Amino acid sequence: ANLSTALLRKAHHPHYPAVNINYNIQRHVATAEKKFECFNIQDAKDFQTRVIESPVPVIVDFHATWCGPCKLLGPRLEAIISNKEGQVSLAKVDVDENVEIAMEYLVESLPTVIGFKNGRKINKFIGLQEDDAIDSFVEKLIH
Amino acid sequence: TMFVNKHSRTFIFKRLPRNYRQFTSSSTEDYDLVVIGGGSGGLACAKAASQLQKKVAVLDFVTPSTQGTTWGLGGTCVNVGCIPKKLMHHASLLGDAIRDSKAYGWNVPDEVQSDWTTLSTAVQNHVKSLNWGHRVQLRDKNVEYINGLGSFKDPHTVRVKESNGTERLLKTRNAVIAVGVRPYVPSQIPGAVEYGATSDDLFWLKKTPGKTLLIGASYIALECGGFLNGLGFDTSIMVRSRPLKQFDQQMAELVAESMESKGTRFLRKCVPVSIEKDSRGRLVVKYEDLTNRQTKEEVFDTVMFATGRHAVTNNLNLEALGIEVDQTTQKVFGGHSDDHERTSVANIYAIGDILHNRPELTPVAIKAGQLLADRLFGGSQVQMDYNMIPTTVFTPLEYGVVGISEEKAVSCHGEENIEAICFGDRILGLHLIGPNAGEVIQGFAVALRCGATWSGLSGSVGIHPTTAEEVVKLHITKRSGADPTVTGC
Repeated sequence: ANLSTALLRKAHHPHYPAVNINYNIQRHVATAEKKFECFNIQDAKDFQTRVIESPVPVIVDFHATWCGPCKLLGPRLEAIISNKEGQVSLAKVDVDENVEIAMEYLVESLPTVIGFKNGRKINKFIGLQEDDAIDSFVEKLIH
Repeated sequence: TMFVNKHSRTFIFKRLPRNYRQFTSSSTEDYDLVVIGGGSGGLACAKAASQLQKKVAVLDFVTPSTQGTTWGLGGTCVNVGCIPKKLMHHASLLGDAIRDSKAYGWNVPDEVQSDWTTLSTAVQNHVKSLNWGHRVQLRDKNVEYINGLGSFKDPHTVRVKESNGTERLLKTRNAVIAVGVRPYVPSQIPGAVEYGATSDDLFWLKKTPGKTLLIGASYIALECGGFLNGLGFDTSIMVRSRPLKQFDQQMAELVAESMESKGTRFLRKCVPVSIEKDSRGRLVVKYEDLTNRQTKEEVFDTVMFATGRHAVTNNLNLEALGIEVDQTTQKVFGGHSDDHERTSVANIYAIGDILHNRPELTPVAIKAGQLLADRLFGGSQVQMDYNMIPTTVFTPLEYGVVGISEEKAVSCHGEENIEAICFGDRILGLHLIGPNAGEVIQGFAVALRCGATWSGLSGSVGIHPTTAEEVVKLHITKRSGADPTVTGC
């Protein structure tokens, strides 16, 4: 993409604050100078806007309240992504609240984490992973 | 879905549904099968039909209980029956195991307590994972799932009202009624509907049950009473006549006795009169002792009715279609045109608990549903065999059974022909009370279906030391009057 289209994209997608107070996030993410987006997807339209049309790659964490490993994976994802200086965002999808989105992306076991870039599914992993595995997954998506 | 590639070249592609295929029906609105009810039977039937390349939809909707409890896809078994029941039964047995373990050398504290919140949360999380699993399965098997209340407009049109209010009409070649049954609460007892919980609520209780009264003598009352007592709650069971009336009475008494020895209090020959709430929010139960006509009163934290389960078919519009139901139970009659599950309307069937006069059991519903799908779409002629269905009452000491009770055997064949439940050499029924009775009886159920005889059974060698070996070692008849208590090996 050339510079003019990059600037065009930025004009249509204003930066969100580091912690978006419109969406309830249980864990507050500590950020330094760079902005890091972490948000809960509300519905299909929200997914379209904030994941598919996102200018930066988005890691989507499909989870559920009843899923034990999901509760362990969540903080790990947040910690790793918060260190990427805004190069990637984190979207959380509760599969019970957003069944259609989960069905569309063929989510079966939980947690399922899918990396999106330019509106397309790039990579995916299933289940709780160690930090270094998560880190290389995130790096692969960014680059 | 449309994806636009934002790189220098732009292209658009449309992604097809995963299992896209041509359907043989004349219009995209026509279904081959619509199943009303997403429980054990409904889901099994829907999935089996879809495997045969048919266009299937399953409707599921949970009307909240009297106390407002509701749940997800999967029906009674998954949400408020078999699954949470067995988990809690297991939880209570673990308490016994912990206490027993001391004698086996384990270092455990003298007093161990169970935490209801930890247990119920874990059970609920497991149930929710199963709800999700069923959603995924339906998608994988290409069955359309609609969360809505179904009813019949005509024999080939099902009206579904979704929770958001939208209504759809589904044109279908065939329909299956698999709506199951719900707990019956006697509304003529003041306070029963207002304050009484049922099995619909017990597994989803946020607060601890505390001192609990179960009203009823069914397997549901005894199973729930059994595990509540095992978890450490002060538990009473109010029985109007006898426990487990539908089962062999000698075995039923042994079950009740074993529960009493573990501390469950049975209020025999008593009936509830009224339930009120006191100033502290506890439930005051007035009840009558039928033996002396005295009215008594006692305070409980929780009162649970297990006084039967009934069909809720008034919303289905069955009468307008001429689908016959039993006047007492409101269950749907099957058996038309020599098909066990066919209703009085040719293209409409009923399976599972809603089907009149058949065992209310998950495996029965599942098998009946699968066989029905095979008959409808697979060219099969095989009917469900409702005989020799094994089952188990998961009281703390389990009671497993396959075949008929002694009472039934005597009435069918005459007392002189029955010997410890055997007709000549043919085994009519096998009853076992003991740990893991459910696991033990399964194998014997297969043996009985294959025509196991008394000679075959008694000629078999036991596995030692087990509980199951007692079955092949049976040699004392009831008629002989000898003491059957086992003392040595």
